[in-house]
Amino acid sequence: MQVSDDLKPQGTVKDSLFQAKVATSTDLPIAPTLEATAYVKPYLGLFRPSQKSQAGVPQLHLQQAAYSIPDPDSYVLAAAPVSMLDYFAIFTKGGALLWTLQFTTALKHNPLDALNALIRTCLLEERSGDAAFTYAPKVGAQQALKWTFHNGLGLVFVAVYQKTLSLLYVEDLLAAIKDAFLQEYTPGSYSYPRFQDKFAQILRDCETRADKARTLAAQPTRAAPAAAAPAAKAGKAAGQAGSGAATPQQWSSEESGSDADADAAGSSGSAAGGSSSAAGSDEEAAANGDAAGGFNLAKLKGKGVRAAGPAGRRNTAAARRAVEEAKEKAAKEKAAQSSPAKPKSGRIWGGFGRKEEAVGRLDFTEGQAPGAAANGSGTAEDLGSSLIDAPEEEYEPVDDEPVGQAAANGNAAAPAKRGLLGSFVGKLALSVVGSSALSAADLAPALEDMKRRLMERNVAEEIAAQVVDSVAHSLEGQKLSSFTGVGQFVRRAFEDSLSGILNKRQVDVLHDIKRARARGKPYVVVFCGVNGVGKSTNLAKIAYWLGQHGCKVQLAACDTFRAGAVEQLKTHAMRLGVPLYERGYEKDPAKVAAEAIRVAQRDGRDVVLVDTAGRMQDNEPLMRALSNLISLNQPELVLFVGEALVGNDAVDQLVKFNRSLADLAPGAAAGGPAKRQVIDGIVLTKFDTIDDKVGAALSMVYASGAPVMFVGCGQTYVDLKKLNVRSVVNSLLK
Amino acid sequence: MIPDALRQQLQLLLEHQPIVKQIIQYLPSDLQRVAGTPEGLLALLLTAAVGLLVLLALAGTSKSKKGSSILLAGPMNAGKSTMYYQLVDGSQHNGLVASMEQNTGVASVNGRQARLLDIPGHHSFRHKLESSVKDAAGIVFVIDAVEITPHKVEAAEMLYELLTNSSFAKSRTPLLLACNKADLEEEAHSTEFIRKTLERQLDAMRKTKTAGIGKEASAGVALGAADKPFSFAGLRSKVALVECSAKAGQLDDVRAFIAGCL
Repeated sequence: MQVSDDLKPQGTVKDSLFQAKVATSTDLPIAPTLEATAYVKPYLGLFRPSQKSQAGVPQLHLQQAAYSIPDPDSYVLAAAPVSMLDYFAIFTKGGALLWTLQFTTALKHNPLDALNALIRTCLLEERSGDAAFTYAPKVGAQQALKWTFHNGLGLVFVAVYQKTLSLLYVEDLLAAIKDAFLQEYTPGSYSYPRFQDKFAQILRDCETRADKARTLAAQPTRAAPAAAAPAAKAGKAAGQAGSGAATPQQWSSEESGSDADADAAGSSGSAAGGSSSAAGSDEEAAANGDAAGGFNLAKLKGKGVRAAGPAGRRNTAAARRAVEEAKEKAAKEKAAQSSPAKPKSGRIWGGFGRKEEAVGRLDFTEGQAPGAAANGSGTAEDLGSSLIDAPEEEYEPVDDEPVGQAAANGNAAAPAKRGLLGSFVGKLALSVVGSSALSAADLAPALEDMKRRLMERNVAEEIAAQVVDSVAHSLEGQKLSSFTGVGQFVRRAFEDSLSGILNKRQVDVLHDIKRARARGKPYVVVFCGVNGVGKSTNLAKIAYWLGQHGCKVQLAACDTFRAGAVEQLKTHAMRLGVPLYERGYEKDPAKVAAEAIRVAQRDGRDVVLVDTAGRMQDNEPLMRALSNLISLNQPELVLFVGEALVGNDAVDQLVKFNRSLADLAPGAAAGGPAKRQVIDGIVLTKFDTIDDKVGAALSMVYASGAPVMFVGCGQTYVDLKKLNVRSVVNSLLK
Repeated sequence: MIPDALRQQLQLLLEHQPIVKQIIQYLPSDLQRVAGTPEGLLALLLTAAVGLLVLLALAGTSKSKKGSSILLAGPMNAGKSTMYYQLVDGSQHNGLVASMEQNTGVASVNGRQARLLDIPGHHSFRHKLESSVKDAAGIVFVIDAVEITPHKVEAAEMLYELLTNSSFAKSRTPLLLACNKADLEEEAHSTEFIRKTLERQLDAMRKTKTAGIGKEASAGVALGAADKPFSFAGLRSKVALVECSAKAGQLDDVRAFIAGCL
């Protein structure tokens, strides 16, 4: 072996031995049992200072040497290629590492930590359709990880590199390595000594190809497409899904923008009081514009963005919509003018009987002293035990005839090109014999059917796309077991993945309250969400449930904006027999919450439930105020209240709430408070208004990663349940 | 003896169904005469039905005994897959990362073959764990003895779900708590400490979980006596606690337990 001149050791042989030992025996998991000296022994003779480089002897670079799993028979320290990657690993889905290659010893952390983080937080959370994963070790720079699967054999290929480098060849490398490794792979064998040379060659090819592509891209005219060309398929798909979700929102914001400017006088710049689910910024723009017919900024803005797509079709559609809306508005005005002043009779809701009785029943304030609510001296209501404590009903799995039929029809339609006999034999091979592996074309109709089914059940469109993508990644290349149809196979895979998504680590609230009681501090729960989802109602239900289990509850009225919010909580407090801390309206909610917690601690209350004002997720000042409240008071549980009726907006709400809590907290830029606060749980309300369109649960859980802790299913205090995962999955796949 | 309507139906059956006549011909000659009459036919049908029911009942009871596989369960990063590979292959090859799917295989333990099922500890596999408990002849619950305190809630939750599983309680499946990573001698806690920690956690959980959640329609299984503090010795199923190290291959206690379960 040659020793390059810059590496000539200064000092004795022992020193260089020590250096070699230091270089080889860092925390490498890949050479656990072989001693470092065993490597260096054969080369001891080379470390004499007088050695000149000789021809024909291979180089040994100690500083940038890479160490693979050595062949124990030959003690050859194969010098791996120098590359920008940090680590490459091939392992089975069951967890056993088959082949690894570490390119640098400069990392201070164990490279397997990055792999474990990838598996636990990304691949097992059904996000395997993502383009890349970022791992931030405790010491050192962030690493980016890219992966690919071979589902037929259950293999995973992962490449790890520094996040600051943007390497374009990683996907090509992964695909090429996958093909090369499959030729050598035998199940049950764990050493692949000859694979390293092949790997080095493929890596060199990919790097040269990427260099060539980069030099081509350096020409200015072809900059955009060349940069896009080596982009991942997954990246493109993610981009399409993102733009697909963006355009429906633009539509909705454009529509409501034009409706809002007709009555723009009332709405203030902040959309806090607004009841539509439009983007707040568009409403502000509409308010700036004139009344209908004037210079409508929102309409223009919407049109401008939409023109990015195929222009002709969309613009005529937009023109048609504008004309329709104008006509609707004119009709509404005429109706308002022409109808006589007929007194409207109050609608009688079922079960209440006559109108006077109904009005009488709704008024609960008679006979109560005004100050009693604050002291909590009113008698608590007892309506029996909350439905959350009732045993759950068993759910029988629904038979999967419809899916099988639809998929069979889809399958029959798709391979018409292959010819009837070919397609018949192919289907037989797939379902009866189970020999040929599933390809994307076979799966496509069944997956399309599942995606449509999920969206019919009110799952947000981009979430459905991501879940279907992730399941497709895990199914492609697998073999069917005998006598299973494609539809049934896909359905079972979906059942597993949906149950996996919805089964999250449950937070045991009662257990945590007991622990907090032992510490002497109250357990603080903050309810946040957009307007009108049922925060105050469900707060009262949860207070009732906690009271039933012997917890001393205190309510805090931090909704200091909405008219009647404090009175609403006063009524609940009176009926539940719990104290309420309130300071009226127009006060800083964060300070009110802080004082409420202090009062609760002084009085020895176990739980403080903090009610906040509803706010739109795009309204930055209000989101900042919320994150201020949360970071000031450091609650133990932050619950996001979302209604089950919400559709595509669920994802936007949760993502923006989470991001605001993380980014807008004071001191977030300077290293942040001690505990990073995000949404810890979801309360799903108005569950009784949807019969089987339960997709909002899936959208919210997938978008935030938080479990659904409570489900509100009615208007009375006992209507609180836990999420029954099996029934939700059955409803989604019915 | 039998009502007339039934007699008429049986008569029609005898006369117009050729299959019945063919079957009667296969019977021995004494029975043929009996089967020719409606009463005899009815008697024959009833005895056949009763015989079938008895056979089914016997088959059913013989299957409701213990299952055939050993389950390796536990929280994440406890060392289940390492233990699996040590038992099945005798070594952990190049090392392991977090499992993304279950491992199944056959290990030869003290001369006998045992089917092992290793289920990942990630929470998305909970339902798979619950559905595999009914087929388990024994459960090895692997715990990380070094990191017991940060993860005690997670370990205790999984253990709680296992202990309150109705098929586990009904068939009294033996359970082994294997305190893994004993090769790190200074950092691994003792089995007594782990036992006390888990018992305390389960005691606290017992009160809150039965109060707040109604899991199965059978209203769950109460763990031990409600007035006394929870202890593993007070459970009806056999629970043993051993130290082991999957990485170093010290799995003799586990092997003995598995051999005892089969």
